[in-house]
Amino acid sequence: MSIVERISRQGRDEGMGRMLATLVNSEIELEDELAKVRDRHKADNEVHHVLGLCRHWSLEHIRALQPHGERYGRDLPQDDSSLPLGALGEKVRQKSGEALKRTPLSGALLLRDLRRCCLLAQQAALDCLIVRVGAHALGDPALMETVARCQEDTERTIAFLKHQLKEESPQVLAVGARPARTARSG
Amino acid sequence: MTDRIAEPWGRRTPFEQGGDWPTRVDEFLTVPEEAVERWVQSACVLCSNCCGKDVAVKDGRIVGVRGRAVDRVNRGRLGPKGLFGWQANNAHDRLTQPLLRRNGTLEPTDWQTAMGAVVEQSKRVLDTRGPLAMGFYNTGQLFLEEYYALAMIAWGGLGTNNIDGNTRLCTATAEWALKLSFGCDGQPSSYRDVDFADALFLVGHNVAETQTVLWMRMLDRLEGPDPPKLVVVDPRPSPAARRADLWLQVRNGTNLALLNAIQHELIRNGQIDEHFIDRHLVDFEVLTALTDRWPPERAADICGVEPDAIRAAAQVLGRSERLLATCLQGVYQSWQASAAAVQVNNIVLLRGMIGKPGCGVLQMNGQPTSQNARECGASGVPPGFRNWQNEAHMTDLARLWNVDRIQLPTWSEPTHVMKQIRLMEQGNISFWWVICTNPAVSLPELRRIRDVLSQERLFLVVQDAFLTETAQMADVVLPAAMWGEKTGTYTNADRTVHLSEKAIEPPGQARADLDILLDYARRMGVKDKDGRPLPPFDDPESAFEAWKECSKGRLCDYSGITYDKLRGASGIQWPCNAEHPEGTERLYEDLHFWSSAATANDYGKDLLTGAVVEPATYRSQDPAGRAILRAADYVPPPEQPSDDFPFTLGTGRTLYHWHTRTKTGRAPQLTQAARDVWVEISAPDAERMSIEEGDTVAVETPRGRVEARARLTDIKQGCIFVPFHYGYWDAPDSDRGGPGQSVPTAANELTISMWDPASRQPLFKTAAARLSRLSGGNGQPSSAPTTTASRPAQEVSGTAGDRHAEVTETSETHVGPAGNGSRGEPGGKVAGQA
Repeated sequence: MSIVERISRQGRDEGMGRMLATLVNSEIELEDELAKVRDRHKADNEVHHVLGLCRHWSLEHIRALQPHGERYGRDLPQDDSSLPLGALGEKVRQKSGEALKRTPLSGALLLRDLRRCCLLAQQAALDCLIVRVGAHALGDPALMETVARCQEDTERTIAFLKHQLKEESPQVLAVGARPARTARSG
Repeated sequence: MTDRIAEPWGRRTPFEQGGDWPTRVDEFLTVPEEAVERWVQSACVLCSNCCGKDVAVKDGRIVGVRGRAVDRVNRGRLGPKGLFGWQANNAHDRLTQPLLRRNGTLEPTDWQTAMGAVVEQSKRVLDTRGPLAMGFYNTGQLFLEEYYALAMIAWGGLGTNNIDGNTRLCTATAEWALKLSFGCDGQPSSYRDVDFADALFLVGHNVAETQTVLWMRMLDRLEGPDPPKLVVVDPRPSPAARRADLWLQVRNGTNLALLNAIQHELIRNGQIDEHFIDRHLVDFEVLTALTDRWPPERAADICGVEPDAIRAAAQVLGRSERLLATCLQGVYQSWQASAAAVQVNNIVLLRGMIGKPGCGVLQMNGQPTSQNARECGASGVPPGFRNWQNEAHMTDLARLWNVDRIQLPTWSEPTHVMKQIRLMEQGNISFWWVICTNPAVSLPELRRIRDVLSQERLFLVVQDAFLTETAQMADVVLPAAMWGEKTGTYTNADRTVHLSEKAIEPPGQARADLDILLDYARRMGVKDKDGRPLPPFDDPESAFEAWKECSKGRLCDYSGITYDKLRGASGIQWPCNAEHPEGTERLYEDLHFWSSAATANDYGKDLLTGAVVEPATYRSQDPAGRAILRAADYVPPPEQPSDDFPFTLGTGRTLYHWHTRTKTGRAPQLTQAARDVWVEISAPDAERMSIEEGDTVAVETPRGRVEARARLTDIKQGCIFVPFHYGYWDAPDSDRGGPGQSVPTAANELTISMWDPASRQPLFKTAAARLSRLSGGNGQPSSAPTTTASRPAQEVSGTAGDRHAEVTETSETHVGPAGNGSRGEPGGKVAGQA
């Protein structure tokens, strides 16, 4: 390989390496938020349990992307949620969730949290898309396959969050302060 | 005479494959037969079989019952609950007056005052907080007409999306399994298919206890000249499991792993109908790819059975020519409920076993009239199996009801009960109306349920025939008529519609549920868009006629049924319309499923997360009349046995009781058969812990604690079982009942607040628990029945009734066409409504 070729190859690797780091950072951000929301809304049992599954998917993605990062000469960021500080945060969030769980405010809080998770999941899915088409162009089927799987999981997370948002928002927005009522009953 | 407590299924009347099930008329009377003044046509409402029966009346009271020989469901037979349970109607502690809470105490009042309070509170909530601050929780035991009225009033009229039934606890997964595989709710097969099958595959279906008369039919085939092969999946030694050719005693919560492995074998061995798959199914490749990863060895480890037993089961299913598969709570209330239930559909579909005699699947219902709750819009789906995501369906419904389209709350599925509980816990829902069910005993994690329901800021209305544990917490209690005291129709688990006529007057001021609901609607001024009263009917028959319009053209088409047509005859299976005037024995005989985007009842959900499939996505892959093979991976339940909680706990029913014993606990024969709560533990586990039969033990989970006597059985090691019937209304050590005052006995003190994300059915079969021995039993066994899945591992005195449990069983020697020469037919002794 000539020097010119090597430099050009390096440039390509750097580009994909940077994008993989962006994707992993998105997954970490998502995973972190899913964990927080999960802890905070323990009383919303379905959200609590399914977000646990979604978070598990994100953690798997972070692990599965690591070897691809190496191949593109990049040390990808790692998840640090198992550190002692993470466990402390979990306790604090569960306590704060517990304190609010009997107030209508917890519904509004859930709406806000689900919305934020959904935006972060969409960011991660978008990064997956970018990496996937890039991997196609680079002729890297292994990365394509990994990232396609990640994208599929994240789309499922998004679908779940949207579904929860549809169920939650009417109860938050339409109970209490109401516009002048149209005649439904006398 | 037969002691039907000792012999719940009575005497055998064997028959051959494809033959007519012989009649056997079961009769139980508390007066001499000649003293009976009238026989009134009805059907049983104590399980999802809904056996046809006639009610004996004397002096304005019910004095007994007799099975209807003409009826296709039971051919005259009745189970112990059906024979004895009606005595609850005559109980001395029926509610006969409305009650209103004043200064913390429920005091008797009149209807004007009680309903006035409900209406005033409703209007206040509507004005200040809106319809979504209201919730309605109904039952699996109302009549069709009542469900339809409720849906029209609450969902269509008031505009709240918070409407669900306790069918959520028993049948939601059956509904979802059917929608997910076939595109529409509706039982594909028929009980008649038991007569033709050459293999029965019972998955988590303790049929002998939950549907006693259906088990009689199966037993009569098993005793006949050419019995079907019987394969049973159950952690407990149920009567069917003990009778089976092959019993797969899996661990609780592992159905999906087992079913994936069975499909792995069927596909690998080529025991599938490729022609049928090509023409009538979608996603075979997806299923193949997934089940490829599930060789029997992998599932065997998870399920706790031998790999060869899985192979042997697959061989029986794979070689059968007429395969009938069934599911009930062992699937629906277990881990990964919907995902597992659809695999049972997959198995019959892979084999092309549908739409033919003896073939198919019965996704059973738990409660007697839960089918109608599902059909009529009272439990989480718009009426008539309409699709809330299909704009044409919703526009059509708005036209039918003559309401503005925007008034129908269709932004999501109606809110399931556990979410409603959460909304009450937040103070979001502040008005809750409970109809004919007992959430203070039947919902999971009771400590939390009691906290929620006893809140000062919640206005709780309870409509019931008795002062249940839930009614004791209410602000207003409305006394309701029971079965036998009102007229209406209901539909069983194989689509058989029955008419039940009013036999006697309700006691005191108790009123029919339909009358209560209509009274409320009128006082609330619920109207359609032209100012006409909604609902536009005022008695059962006009409600039924309105429902026929709503169901017309849908799969659950009732348009060809009338009250008159149901009188004197057998029940009729829907769809019944101009094309099928006598009803339809089995669905999908033309192999065309209701899955096209235009007709589908639902667009499906993600089996793991419950996320709904959007209309555009479904349309882009429109199955267009083909059934859908759904694949899912087993994942372990989040709450697994641990050092602290080493057992897996399941809860469930016993043969002799129903729900929270509100009715069966008031029938002496049934009470005596299973008086107190017990816990089943395997003999080896008990020996290790020095627990003996009859010892008092504590069962604990992270949620709570129950004290119960131990029954040592052949249940799967590591698993324990507690029946869920035993609340506090008749607790011996307390007037008022309720924990803190009584020994905790309700199984739901222990259960976890978790549910299947697709069907939203709570998880009752998979929680981690621990046991500890409290005291010895002095040689007295527990009161668990010996005739059932609680059968003791060692000898104890057998469950038996006294002379009051003696039942007449009259078998016909000659069996003609249904109705020939048998009792209870038109022109016989049966009278219509007096």
